Amino acid sequence: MNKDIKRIEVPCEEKLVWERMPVGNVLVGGANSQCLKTGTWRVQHPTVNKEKCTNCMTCWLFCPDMSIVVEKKGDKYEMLGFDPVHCKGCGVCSKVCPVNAIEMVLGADFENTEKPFLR
Amino acid sequence: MKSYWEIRWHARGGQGAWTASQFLASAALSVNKYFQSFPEFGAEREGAPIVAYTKISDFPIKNYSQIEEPDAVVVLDPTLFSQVPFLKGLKSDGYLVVNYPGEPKQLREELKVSPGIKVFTVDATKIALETLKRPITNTTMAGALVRATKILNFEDVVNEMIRSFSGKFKKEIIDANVNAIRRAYEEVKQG
Amino acid sequence: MARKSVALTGDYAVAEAMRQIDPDVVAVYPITPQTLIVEKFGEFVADGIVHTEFVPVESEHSALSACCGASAAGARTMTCTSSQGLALMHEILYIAAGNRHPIVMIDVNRALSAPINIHGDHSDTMGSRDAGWIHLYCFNGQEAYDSTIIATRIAENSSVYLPVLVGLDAFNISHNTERIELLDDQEVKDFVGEFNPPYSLLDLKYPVSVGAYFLPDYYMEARRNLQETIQNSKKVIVEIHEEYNKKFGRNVPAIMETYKIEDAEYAILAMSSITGVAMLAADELRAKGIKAGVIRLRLFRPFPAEELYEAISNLKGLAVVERADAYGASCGPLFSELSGACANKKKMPLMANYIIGLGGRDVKIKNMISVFEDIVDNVEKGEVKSLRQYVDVKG
Repeated sequence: MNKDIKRIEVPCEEKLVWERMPVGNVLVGGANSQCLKTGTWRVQHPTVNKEKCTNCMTCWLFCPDMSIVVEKKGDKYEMLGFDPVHCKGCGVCSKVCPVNAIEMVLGADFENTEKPFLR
Repeated sequence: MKSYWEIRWHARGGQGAWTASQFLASAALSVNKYFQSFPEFGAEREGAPIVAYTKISDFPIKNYSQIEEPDAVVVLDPTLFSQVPFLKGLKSDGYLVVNYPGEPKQLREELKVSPGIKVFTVDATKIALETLKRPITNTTMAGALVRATKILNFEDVVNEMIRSFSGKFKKEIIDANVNAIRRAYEEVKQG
Repeated sequence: MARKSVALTGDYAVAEAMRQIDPDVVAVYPITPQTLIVEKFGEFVADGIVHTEFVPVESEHSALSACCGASAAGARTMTCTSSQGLALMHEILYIAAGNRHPIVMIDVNRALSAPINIHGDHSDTMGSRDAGWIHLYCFNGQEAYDSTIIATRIAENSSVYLPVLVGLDAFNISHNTERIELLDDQEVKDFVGEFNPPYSLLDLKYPVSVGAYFLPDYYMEARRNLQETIQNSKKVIVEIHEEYNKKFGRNVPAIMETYKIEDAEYAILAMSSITGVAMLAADELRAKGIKAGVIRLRLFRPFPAEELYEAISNLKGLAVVERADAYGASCGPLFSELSGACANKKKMPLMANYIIGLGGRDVKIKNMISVFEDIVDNVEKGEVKSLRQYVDVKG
């Protein structure tokens, strides 16, 4: 690959101008959809009742924004909550949960953006 | 010796007129000349009248149009006489080389050829049937054309034919073709 | 294999060039009159003479799509097509240019339907001229062979990285057996060198996303960048032609070829094989005392406005003769490109547009003579009565 081409990592600090666009309009760096804070789109937010939750991972499977926070504990996986930076409040997790452990609550809850939500 | 020749071939699809044109072109290449060889495209199939063009020149050829006023017209199939106006555009001092069983004088009368045009005939079908066992008259007519116009050195043409056929055809077929072209060269008549 | 002179049709000459270049991927769909290229190259693939991954697809749209994918993965890619095929891949042409895939496409210039016609004219490439590809038009089979090799270097140049289209006329060049001077295999290999792609989907150290969505806030900047790139490519195109000519003792013109233009008063501007008869017509007119000349334009995209203006500015009359028309427009594509480029110039010849040779209609010396006579007549009368005329139509 041509190492002489100047790489412009997108998103980048400087503002792009037409004289300096990435060759072929490619986005360099990969996995940069993380930088798009889809969490700011929500008007409702999910809450999970961990007593009902069976850790089946169906919500994780269906979440379109990879916003279900999951941790491996020994052999098993545990669903811990939701990623506030990317969860856009679509409600799919709530719809697909087989035990109705997830409920959607009106309100974006932007203040609580550092930690996962739990009820 | 003319430096630029334009030849028009008339035949039916499947008789090898384009092959004859190609093979004359490669003979021209072997003596370092420039050339073009192309057929006129239309609805082609076996038996339909077709036209092929050959241009041979000592200098690079700029003209990529079809030939309007050929220096020589070669007709591979006598059944084309009533079907195709192959005399059209032939230069008034041009060459007409036809696969025809009779004498050139008869052909001249039959086609009402103008007196300046040099007429050559050869019974190429008979030669082809006797040597190649098939009525494919392309190599024979190429030989007749070379004899009539002296456009290329005959031995160069024969050598080129042997060279281009080797590897593609069996030795018997190559020998038969050499025989055919030499016979046509000998038997072509002017009148 | 040393350099040699061979008897090949234009299509076969291109296939030989492709064999010597030995691209990584060729995705292609057959269409008359490009079929000879595909057949011959297919033979090379089957005989194991090339290392190319040959992908026979189900349509030209798929062909160019496959080429874009291969090129994005860092492969040297080539394809070829004609008329309807080029039209079918139209949407992907813009994608190939926008994504800066250095694909080389040989287009055998054939008329667009309807009515169906398989013979030569420039309507196919004229219909796709704005996609962002570099366009080179070839005079004959020899030039098509040389151009295929040169195009590879142009496309892959690191300040260009644009797809290149090489055009040759259908049948009277593509199926015309001519004397072709082939270069030595190693010479071609050394000339085209290794492909150094601008990016590669297979490069895990520099992962990229190709074909992203640009919102209105940046699409225009991306397009402005493309325009600048293709305009600047002209310099590189000239340099690479000079390098090729010097190395191999050839004389392939980068932008245009002029014939007796230095003191000419009347000239024909045309592209590809029809300029041959125009030159012969100019000779006949010179013999009659008329100062006639011919300009054969080779580089159509990027349009060489300054070079063309310099060639025509001292003429009294210019006949722009082209093998394509723009339906609904006042003039054909080449005429409108030239007029647009010279919009504010003070010193211009009287110009008229002549449409010739559509659908394979044979273009003869006498047609070109009649064009010259018409432009001379216009200049003598001081006006152009008819901006665009069709030459040699019945009726």
